Amino acid sequence: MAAPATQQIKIRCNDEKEFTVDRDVLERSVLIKNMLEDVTEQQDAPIPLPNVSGPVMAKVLEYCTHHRGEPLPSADTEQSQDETRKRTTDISEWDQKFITVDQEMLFEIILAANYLDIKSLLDVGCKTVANMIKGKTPEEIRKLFNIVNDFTPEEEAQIKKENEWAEDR
Amino acid sequence: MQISRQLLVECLPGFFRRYFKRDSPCLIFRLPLDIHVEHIFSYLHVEDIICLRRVNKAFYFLTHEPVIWKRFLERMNLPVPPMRPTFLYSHHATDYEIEQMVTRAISLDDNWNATKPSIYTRNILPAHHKVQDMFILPGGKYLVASVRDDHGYRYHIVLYALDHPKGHRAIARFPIEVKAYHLYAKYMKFKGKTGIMITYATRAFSDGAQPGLDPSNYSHKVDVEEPYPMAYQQATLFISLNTLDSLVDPMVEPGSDAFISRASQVGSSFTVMFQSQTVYPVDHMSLFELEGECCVLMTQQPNLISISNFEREKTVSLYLKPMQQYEGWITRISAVRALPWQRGLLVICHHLHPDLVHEQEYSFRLYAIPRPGFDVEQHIIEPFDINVIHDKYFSHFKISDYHFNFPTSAQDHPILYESRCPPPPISVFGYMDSPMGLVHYSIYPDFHDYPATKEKSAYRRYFYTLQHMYHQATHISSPHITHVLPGVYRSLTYTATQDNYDSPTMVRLRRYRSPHCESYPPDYPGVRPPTSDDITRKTKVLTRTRGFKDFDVSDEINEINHLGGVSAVAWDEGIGRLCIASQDGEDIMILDFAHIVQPDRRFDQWKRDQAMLGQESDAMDIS
Repeated sequence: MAAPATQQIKIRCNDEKEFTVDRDVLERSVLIKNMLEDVTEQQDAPIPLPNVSGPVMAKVLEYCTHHRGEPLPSADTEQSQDETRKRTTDISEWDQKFITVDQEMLFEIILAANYLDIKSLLDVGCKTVANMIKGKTPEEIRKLFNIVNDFTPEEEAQIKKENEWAEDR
Repeated sequence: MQISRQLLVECLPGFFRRYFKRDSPCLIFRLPLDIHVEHIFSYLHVEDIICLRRVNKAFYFLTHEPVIWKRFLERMNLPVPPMRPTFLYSHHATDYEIEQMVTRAISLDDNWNATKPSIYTRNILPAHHKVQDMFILPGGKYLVASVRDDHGYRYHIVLYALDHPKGHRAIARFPIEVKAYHLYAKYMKFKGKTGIMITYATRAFSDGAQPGLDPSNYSHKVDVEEPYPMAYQQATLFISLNTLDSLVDPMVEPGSDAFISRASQVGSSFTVMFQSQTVYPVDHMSLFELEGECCVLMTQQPNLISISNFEREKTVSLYLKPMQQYEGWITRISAVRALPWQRGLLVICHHLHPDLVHEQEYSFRLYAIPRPGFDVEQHIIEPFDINVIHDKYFSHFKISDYHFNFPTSAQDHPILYESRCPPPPISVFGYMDSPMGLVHYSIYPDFHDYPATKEKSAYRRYFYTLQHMYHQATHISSPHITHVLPGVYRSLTYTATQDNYDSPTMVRLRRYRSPHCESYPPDYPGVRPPTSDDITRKTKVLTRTRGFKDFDVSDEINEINHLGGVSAVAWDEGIGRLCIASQDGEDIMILDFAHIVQPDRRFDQWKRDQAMLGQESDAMDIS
C-alpha cells in the first residue's frame, strides 16, 4: 500500500507519553511497519507500545529520523550477510555520538530496538557494548558493569587456570 | 550451514535465568540471553569470551553456549580436525566438543609456532598389554592398537575411546593369532554404514608352526633374515560407529546396567572385510575411497601395488613397468600414497645399481589408477610424471596422509576451513643416510578450471603434479636417526640412537614447522590458502621460528627409554596429540600439545546448590 510520505502516525509509550511521527520514520521499525500494513483503514487511536518508555522512544525516534530513507535490510540479505559479514565493530560518527549515553539508556535502547525490530539500531547498541567489553580483564568488566563476582575463591582460581591458554596470546 | 537457533541456555532451569531479568539491579543483565549470545558476542573475539567467562556465574554459563563456538568454528582460518562422521553437531550432550575444537586449534597453533613449544597435558592410558603398533583416528577420539599380553600368547587389535568424559578406555577388541603391524585406520562408509576400517599385516612361518620359535618375535621394522620362510597376510576389519558411539555415550555410566547391556551386544562387532596372503612382505598399507568405494592399498616387493575394492570384492594388481634407464638395476617401492580425488598414485622408487654400491637413485612418480575392467585384474602401469633425485642416499621415505574431504554422514556438519581452501601440499620426508638426517620435499597442487556447460556449472579441479615439487629443508642429525611422524601441516620428529631400530632410544622430540604452510614458492602458480582470521584478538603471526624446535620433554623421554625405548607412536596433527608406547611398559603415554576443554561438571553442582538454597527464592519469585 503506497501511503503519502507525510502521513502522521500516533504512538503511545508505556508511560502514557505520546508521539506523532511521520510514517516513513516510524517504518524504520519492522514491528510498526508490519502493524501499519495490517491496518488498512485510517485509525486515530495511537499505537500502544507497552515495552518502551517515553524518554527511550524519544531517543529511538532521533535515530530513526536521522536514518530515514535509507534502505532497510531485507530478510533474505540478512541471512547471507550473517554468513559472510566481517565482524567489524566500526560505528559511524553520527551513530557514535548518538549512542554516547549512560549505561541504563544504552541497554534500554538495545531492548527497544530489539522489541521494535530496528536491526541497524540494535547493531549499533550491541557493537557499543561489545566495544566496552573488548580487551578488558574480568575485573575491569566487573567494575564497568557493576557485576558481583559470585565465584568462590577456589572456583575462581580453577576457572582462571582452565582458561590460562587464552591469556597473553 | 544454518546454526540451530535454539539456545542451550534457554533450556536451563530458573537458577540460571534468574540473573537475566528486566528489572535486574545489574543493568547489563536486563538484556535477554539471546541479545547477549546472538548479537553482542558475535562481535567479540575468542579471548574476550574467555574473559567474560571469568566474570561471574551468569557469564560463565552464557559463554558455554555452543552457538558461540559454532560461529567461531565456521569462521576459523586454521585447520580444524575433521569431525568424526557420526558426531552430532547439534546434539547437546557433545556440546563441549565444539568449544574443544576451536580452542584446541587456536592453542595448538600458538604452541606450534612458539619459540618454546611445550606440552599442555600428559595422560596415561593403561593398556595392560605390550603395544606393538598404534594408529590414531583424526580428531583423536579413537585409538587403534596392536597389543600382545605379557607372555606373548595372545594378540589383539584393541580400540580405545579417548577423551571420554569418564576417562580414556578400551571399548572393543579383536583376537588374532600373531602380532599385527603396519596398522592403518580410517573413518569410512561401507554399504551405507559409517564406521572405522582397520587394516594391518601379520606374518607366520609358511610351513606352519616351528618349535620354539614365535614369528611375532621378529621385528617388522628392520629387514632380518628369518630362519624359515614366512607367509604374509593382510587383513581389514570394520566396526560400525553406531556400535561404538553407543558405548561411549557420555550419558551412559560405564559399568551401569545400561552399559553392560550395550556392551554385550557389541561382542563380535568386528567384521572381517578382506584377507589376502602372499609370500612377499606386504607394506605401505592404506585405506581410501575411490569414487565412493572403499579400497585398501598395499605393496608387495619388489614392484607390485595391489588395490582391493571391498564394494566390488575385487583386487587389481598394478605392476610398475621397469624404466629403460634402470635396466639391470634393482628397483624397489619405497613409499606410495593414493591420491583418490585425481585417481592417482604417488610412488617413490629406490633404484640400486647391481654392482656399484654408490649408484643409487630415487624416482618420484605419478600414476593413474586404471579403471577396473571386467576381467583384467592385472595391469602394467606407466608413470605420466617423474622426478629423479640422485645426489642423496635415503634408507626410506614417508609421505603425509591427507585427512580432508572425508565422507560425512551427518547433514548438520558445517563447511570448515579445509573445504574452503585449495588442498595443502603433500609432504615427503626422506630418511637420509651419510650423513644421517631428514630431507623434506613438498608437492603443491595445481588446478584446472572447467567452464560451465549445459549440464554443469563452472568448477575448478585441483591435482598434484611433480612440476610443483620443491625441496624445503635438509636436517642433519648424525649420529642419530631422525624419525618423522609426517603431517600435512604439522610434522613431529624424534631423534633416536642407531643401536636399536626396533625400539629406539629417544634423544629428543621436536616439532617440524614446514615453510610450505605460509610461504609458497614464488613461481608457484596455484592458489594460496586464506590467512586472515578475525576470531582472535591477535591475527595469525607468521613467525620466523620455522623448522625444528625441541619440546621440553626430558622426563617423558627418560621414562620411555627406561622402559626399553619407543615401541610404537601415533600422531594426530589436527589436535596435536602424540601417543607413545614403550617396549617394556604396558601403558600408552598421551601427550597433548593443545589446550583441551573438559566437559563441565560445575553446572550440575551449582544447580544442586541452588536447589537446596533456592527453593525459597523461587517461591519469592512467584509471589
